[in-house]
Amino acid sequence: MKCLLNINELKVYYFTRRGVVRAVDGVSLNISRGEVLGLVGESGSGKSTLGISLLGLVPPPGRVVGGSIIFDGIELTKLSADEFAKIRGRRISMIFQDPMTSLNPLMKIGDHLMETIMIHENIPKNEARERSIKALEEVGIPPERFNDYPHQFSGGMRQRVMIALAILLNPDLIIADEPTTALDVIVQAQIIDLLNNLRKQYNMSILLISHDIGVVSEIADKIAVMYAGHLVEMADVDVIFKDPLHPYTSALLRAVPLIESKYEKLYYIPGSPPDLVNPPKGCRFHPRCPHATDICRTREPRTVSIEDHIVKCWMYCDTYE
Amino acid sequence: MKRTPLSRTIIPPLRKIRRLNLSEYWIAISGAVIIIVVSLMAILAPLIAPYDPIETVGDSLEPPNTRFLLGTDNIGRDILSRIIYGSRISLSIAFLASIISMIIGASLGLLSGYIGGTFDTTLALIMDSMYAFPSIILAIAIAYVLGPGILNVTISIGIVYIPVYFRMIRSEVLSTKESLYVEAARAIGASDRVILLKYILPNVTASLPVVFSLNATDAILIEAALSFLGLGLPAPTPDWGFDLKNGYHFITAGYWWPVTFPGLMIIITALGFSLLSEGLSEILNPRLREV
Repeated sequence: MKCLLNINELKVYYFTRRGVVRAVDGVSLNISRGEVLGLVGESGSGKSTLGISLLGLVPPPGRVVGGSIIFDGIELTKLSADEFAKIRGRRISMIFQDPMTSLNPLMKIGDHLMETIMIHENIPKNEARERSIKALEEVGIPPERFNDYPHQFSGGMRQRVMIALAILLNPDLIIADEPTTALDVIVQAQIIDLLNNLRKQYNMSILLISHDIGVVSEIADKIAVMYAGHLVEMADVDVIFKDPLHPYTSALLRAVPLIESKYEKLYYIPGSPPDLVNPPKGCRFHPRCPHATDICRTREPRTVSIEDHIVKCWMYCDTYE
Repeated sequence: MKRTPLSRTIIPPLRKIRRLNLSEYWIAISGAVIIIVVSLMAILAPLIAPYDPIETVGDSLEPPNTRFLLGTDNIGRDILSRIIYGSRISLSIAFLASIISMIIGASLGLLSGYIGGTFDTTLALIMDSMYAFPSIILAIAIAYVLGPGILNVTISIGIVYIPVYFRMIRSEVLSTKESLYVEAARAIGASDRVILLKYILPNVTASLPVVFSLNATDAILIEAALSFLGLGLPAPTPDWGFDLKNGYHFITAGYWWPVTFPGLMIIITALGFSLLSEGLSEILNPRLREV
C-alpha cells in the first residue's frame, strides 16, 4: 500500500507557566492509503495532541517544535496558515469527541455542510446543496432534516452529521478523535460500522484516536500505543492482541473488561500517568512497569522494529540487536 | 424535497417563548407598550401636537386649561406640544447613541476577545478605565469638549456606553472561541472571518437586546441631564431636559406645570426602557424566570 502520511520524530510541546509539557515527544509513524490506524493510550498520553497537530491546530501555548509530518508529499509543519486552511476539511478532516457541542447551535445542519463546501470550492449554491444532501444520505440522515438545528438531533445523529461533514469533500485522511466516547454502546457500534463502510467505499485512511482498545480493534488495521508522549508499540491489530510486546500494551489489554472474564476484580494499571513537565528518567513507563530493571530507570529505550512490529522497550533492545 | 414548516426553522430560544403564555411576560410587554406609545408620539408629532412647539401661542405660564391641556411655559409656548415634539429628540438620541455604542463596543469586544494577546490587554485596559468614570461625568466631559448640538450629545452618550458592550461581548467571545464547534469550524478550513461572523457572532449576541434597552434608559436620563446642565441642545429646540431646567426657575413661585410634565415624560420613557430590559432578560435568561 502507498504511504499517505509519514510522521517522523514529531515533537509537540506546550510551553506552560509550570514548564514545558512534552505532550508528543519524538513520535514516528506511517499511515498508508486506505489504512485505519488506531491510536490508543490513556488520558494525557498525547494522542489527541498528535491528532490535532496533523491539522496544524495545536492550541497555544503549544507548538510543533521538531520532526516532520509529510502528507502525500507535502511537509505540513512548514505550511503557512493559508496553505494549511486549504488542506483542512478538504484533504484531512476531523471528527471530534463530543458531538453535542461540535456543531454551531445557531446554524442549520444543512448550512454546516454547505459552508464546508463553499469554503473550499467555488460552486453554485444549489450544487453545494445537492452534494450536502447526498452526504447526509450516506450517513443515514433523511434529506428532510437538512433545515433542522443541531439541538433537534440526538447524540448519535449529530455524530453522523459530523461524519457527513468529514467525508463531504472526499478527504484522503480522517482524524477521528474519540468519535464514540460520548455515545452509548449501541450507537458506538453503529458509528464504527458507518466509518468502516465509508472508508472502504472511498478508500480513505483513518487515524482513529481512542482510549478504548476494544472499539479501535473493530476497524483498525494497525494499532499504535502511546504512553506519556512516546509511541511505545505499533503493530497489526491481530499481532497486538495475540502477542503484545510492551508491558504497557499487555496491561492495557488486561484492563479491558470482558463479560465472561475469569477475573473477579477489574484489572487496572497501578499508579497514574506521569507528569509530562517532569517525566520519569529513562523509560517513562518504568514506575508502573512490573518488569522494570535498572537500565529502564536511567536510560530511555530505543525504538526497535521486528519486521512490522515496533516497540520501545529495553526488554527487546537486548534480545534483538 | 419537502419544505420544512416555518416553526422548525425559527431559532431555538424564540420557539420556546412562543410556547409559553404571554401573560408571564407582562413586564416586557408593558415596557414595550410604553416605548411604542412614546415612539408613535414622536413619529406623529406634527399630526397630534395642537400647536407649534416653538411659537408663543398663549399667555405666559397659563395653568392647564381646555385650550392648553398641560398649560404654557414662561414665554407662552404650549407645554403639551413641546412634550410631544421633545419625544422626537429624546428617543432619537437614545436610540442613536445606543446603536453607536453597540456597534463600536460589540465589534471591538468581538475582535479583542478573538485576537487576544497584547491587543486585547490594551483595549481592555482602556475600556476599563473608561468604565471607571461615573457615566454622567464622562458624558459631561465629552459633551463639553464637543459643544452643544444633537449630534454631539448623541456622540458623547454613545462613547460613554462603549465599554458596557465591549466587556459583555468580549467575555462571551472568550468562552465561545474555546468551544468545540469553533475548533470544528477551524478543522474544516474556515477562515478567521467566517469563524467570527458565522460561528462566534451569532452565539454571543443573546444578551444584546437586554443591554441595549438598559443602555437606552440611561441615554434618556443622561440626555435630559446634559440639556438640564446646558450642555445639550440649543435654546428653542423642544427638549425634555431643557424644559425641565426652564420650568425649574418658576417652581418656587408655585408654577408646577412647566417642570412636572417634562419630568414625567422622562420618568415614563426611562421606565419603559427599563421594564423592557428587565422583561427581556427574564425571557432570554431562563434562570431568572419565576417558577
